[in-house]
Amino acid sequence: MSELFTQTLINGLLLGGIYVTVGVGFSLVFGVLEVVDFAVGEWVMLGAFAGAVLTAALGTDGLYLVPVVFVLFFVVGFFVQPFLHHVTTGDRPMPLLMGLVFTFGIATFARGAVLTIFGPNTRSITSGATSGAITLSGIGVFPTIRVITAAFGVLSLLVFMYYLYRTKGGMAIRAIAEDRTNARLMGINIRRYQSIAYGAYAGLTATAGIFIGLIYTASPGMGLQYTAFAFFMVVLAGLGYLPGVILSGIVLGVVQSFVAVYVSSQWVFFSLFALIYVVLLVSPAGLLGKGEAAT
Amino acid sequence: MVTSLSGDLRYGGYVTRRGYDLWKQEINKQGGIEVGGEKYNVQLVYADAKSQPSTGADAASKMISNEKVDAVLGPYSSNVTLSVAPIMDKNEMPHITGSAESPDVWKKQFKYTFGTIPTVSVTADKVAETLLKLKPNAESVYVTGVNEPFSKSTAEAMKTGAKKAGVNVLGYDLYPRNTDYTNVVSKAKSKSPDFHMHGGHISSHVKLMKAAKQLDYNPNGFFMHYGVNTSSYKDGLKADAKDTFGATLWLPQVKRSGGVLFGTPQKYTDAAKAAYNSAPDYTQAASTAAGIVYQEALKKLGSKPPLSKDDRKKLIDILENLKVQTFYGTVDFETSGDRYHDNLGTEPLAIQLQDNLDPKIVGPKDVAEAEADYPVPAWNAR
Amino acid sequence: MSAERTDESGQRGLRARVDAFTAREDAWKWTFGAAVVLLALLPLGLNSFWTRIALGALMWVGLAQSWNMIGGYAGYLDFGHGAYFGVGGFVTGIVMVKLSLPFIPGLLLAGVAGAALAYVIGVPTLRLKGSYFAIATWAFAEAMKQLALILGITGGTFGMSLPTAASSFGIPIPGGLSETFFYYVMAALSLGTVLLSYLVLEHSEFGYRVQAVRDDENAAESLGIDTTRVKRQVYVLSCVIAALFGSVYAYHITFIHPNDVLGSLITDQMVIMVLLGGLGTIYGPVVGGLTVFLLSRMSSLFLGSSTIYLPLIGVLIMLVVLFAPSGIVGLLNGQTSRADVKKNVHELADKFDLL
Repeated sequence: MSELFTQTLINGLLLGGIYVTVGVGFSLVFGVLEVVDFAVGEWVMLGAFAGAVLTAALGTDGLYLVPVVFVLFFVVGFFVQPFLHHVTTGDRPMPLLMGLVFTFGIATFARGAVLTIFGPNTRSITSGATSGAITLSGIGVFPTIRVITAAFGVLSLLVFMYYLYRTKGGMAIRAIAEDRTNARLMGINIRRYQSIAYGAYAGLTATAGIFIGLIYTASPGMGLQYTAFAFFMVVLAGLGYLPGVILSGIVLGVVQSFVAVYVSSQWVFFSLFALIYVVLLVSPAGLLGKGEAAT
Repeated sequence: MVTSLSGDLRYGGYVTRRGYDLWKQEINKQGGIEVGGEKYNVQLVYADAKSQPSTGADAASKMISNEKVDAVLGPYSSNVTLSVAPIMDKNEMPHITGSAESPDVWKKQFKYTFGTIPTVSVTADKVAETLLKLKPNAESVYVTGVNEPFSKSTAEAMKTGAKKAGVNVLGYDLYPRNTDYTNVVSKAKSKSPDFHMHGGHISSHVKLMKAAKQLDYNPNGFFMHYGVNTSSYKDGLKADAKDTFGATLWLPQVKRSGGVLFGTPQKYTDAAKAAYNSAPDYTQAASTAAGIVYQEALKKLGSKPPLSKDDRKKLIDILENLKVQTFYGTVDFETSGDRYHDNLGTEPLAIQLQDNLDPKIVGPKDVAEAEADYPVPAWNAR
Repeated sequence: MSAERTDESGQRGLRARVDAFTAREDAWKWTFGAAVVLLALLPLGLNSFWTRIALGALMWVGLAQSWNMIGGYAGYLDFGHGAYFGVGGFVTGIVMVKLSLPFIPGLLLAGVAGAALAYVIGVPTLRLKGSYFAIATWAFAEAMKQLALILGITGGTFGMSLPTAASSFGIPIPGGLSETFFYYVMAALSLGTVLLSYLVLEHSEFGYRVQAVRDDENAAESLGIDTTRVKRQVYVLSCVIAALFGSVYAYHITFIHPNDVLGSLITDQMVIMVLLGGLGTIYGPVVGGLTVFLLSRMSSLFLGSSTIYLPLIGVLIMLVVLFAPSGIVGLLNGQTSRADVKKNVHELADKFDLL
């Protein structure tokens, strides 16, 4: 039985790694741009689909497409950001709702366009890495592709933290997040840096999509569950607190795995949603209390 | 014709639509349905239920009140069927579905609704039993399923079939749709079953097999339903799809002939390939069969279109007593009990994906065309 | 009063007349009265199918209006509102099937259950603001859906069917449970909702307090308004209405499943309708509800073979948010004029000064 226990733990940690890849970008965008992006799951889906279509067309290994997809979606996000900025500023009523609904429009458009153009079928991304696992006898099995994904998640988090705290560009973004007016007075090109931030988020999330497509499959309707997970992540992490994302990813992955294996699996998602609800009420600054408080 | 072209169940919707279209195409080629010595062309009107019961119900109402159709060919999903059926009953409109396999639909005993596919509780049960009798006899089985109506019924039927075969059911777990399958596999693997059976839709099968490979889970065989014999499943797993067991009601190579309209399964397959460039699956075949049943029933009724309410009432009686031989199989509707108006005539078949991922019928014994590749090779031996 | 403005375009004249009409004291009475008469007579000219469509449109107008109360007037973005629709449906189903009671007690109990749940959830959740409130209500609704999928009493993953016999209503109805009958029930509920919204939110002190909460909650608090109480009252009221609609819907469609009546799609659709129509206005949900419902229903019923409606809806949403944030009502009452849109486009273009 304890072999099952450790394997479940491994499954949970690696699953958490997948969640981290989705949560990093989302947390960044929420903290810096204060945008609640309803389309986050759709960026994942677009990345997965791009991976599936490109591997089928070019015959390359899916992993090589990672940088390609990142750059592609960085550019897309870079140019989408001004629209978002526009709807959340100016003298509009209820900017928060505007932003939410606009991103909801993006999500509907993305999902509908992919469905209409590519049809409803599920697709796969081919790669040599999807088979194979590292087996540590006495401990458990670590599927290779999941290990790579988890590593990617943690790595991207560290890279972002480095960028935000150790580079001029990152400082500019943080300055904007803290006080936009001051930032402008300091001569920072707000628009450029906001676009960089959103572009990075789109690129990163789409790349997460490739990994997810490699581990599972790609389908037009896959976005919704990842939007849900992204929300989970940032709530538990504390909205805007990047390092918390690792903790919340782990919590989510491990809770999901243990409930699935040891409790009745039907209760998994109920538990997760109830958990989010309670966390928001009791500790809106996240499990570590480091996020922005709920004001 | 009401089917789902968007929403979660779109893939199935396309399949039923193709089935209905093929029927229309073929019957019109022959001049139409023969009634009282004259032939009448068939016209199909379409609506997309969006996999939502309320849209499906409105679509059904439109067919009845606006288009004034004579009969309705039904939706892909059981949920949509459950909200469309009451409207059919209320308006005394005959309704045959070439899909909707959930036992719920038949238990409710809707007078005006019929189905050409036997309920999954029979299909999965019989096939499970057949597979568990393959040598070497399995002694234990682990059953998993997705917690959705159709998949749950499938998993329950698999469990029942296993019990009937005298096999030990080591575990029975239902998982939510978006579950991660490493957990499903880890739990099943810890019990070391001889056979693993799973009820779900296509993408869940793909994910299960991927996880099984990653975690090196090697029962002697995997039986999954629905969707093993689909391009979606085969594309998802490529070579890893080989040797999976599945269930079907029909295949192009099945030995059922002497049917009305399309004389043999081969003729039907040829027509389907010509029209859609892909081999038909059983849902598509059953949908075409639904059309054929109407054709025979209307011929027997002998009333010219448009049908009056009285005509439609009589049509129900005819349908209940009709036994039609088609390329798909025999269609014979049950007239009482839990399987009210479900098709009793077509037998389920056990299949396995063998060379080139082609499905081969491996059971029951009297209709098997090939030996099962059993026990299936372990992942690292492939 | 109805001054003839010199026409630069035909539109000016029309707007002048519309403005003049809406400026009248009793404009509302006339409009509402006309609506009542129109809706009462409508079924006489419609067949079964179109009556269904009308009834669906009425339901969504009412639902959109209910969301508008908490979202548009009070400014609290409730992304779990659809849960109450589902709760209303399931409570009615349970009452009718497990307790074998007729529909009317089912309807009433649905309302009571909705109120009780809204109160219990509202008290803690309304303490949150902005995105936190939105996410929390969303999580609550999803949890409800999962719960309904698990519990046996709601039918679990199989859903629940409601009785269809005419006798299940409770009192005899001429003509039985026809589409026309359901139409009148929905019409009554819908008209009632709009009337209630008007009286409570546009024509009363309470309405001012609610809008004050939306515009600046802290200032409102400092002016002595008990914002907690105001928020709670609006929330509970809006949720009860959603529950009542859910109840009638369940009885009409006869088969409900958690994925359909407790799904986030219900809430999303309500929000879009209000946004498109005009947030925080009395006519907004009416206009938005009719437009979105008819567009979406008609496209799937009449253009049955393509999914292109989906990306088109996405584009529509984006355009509305970008260029007409006050919705159709905003366009009609001059809040969003051609000049505004032009200014808007310029400002947007400015934002592309990125490199």
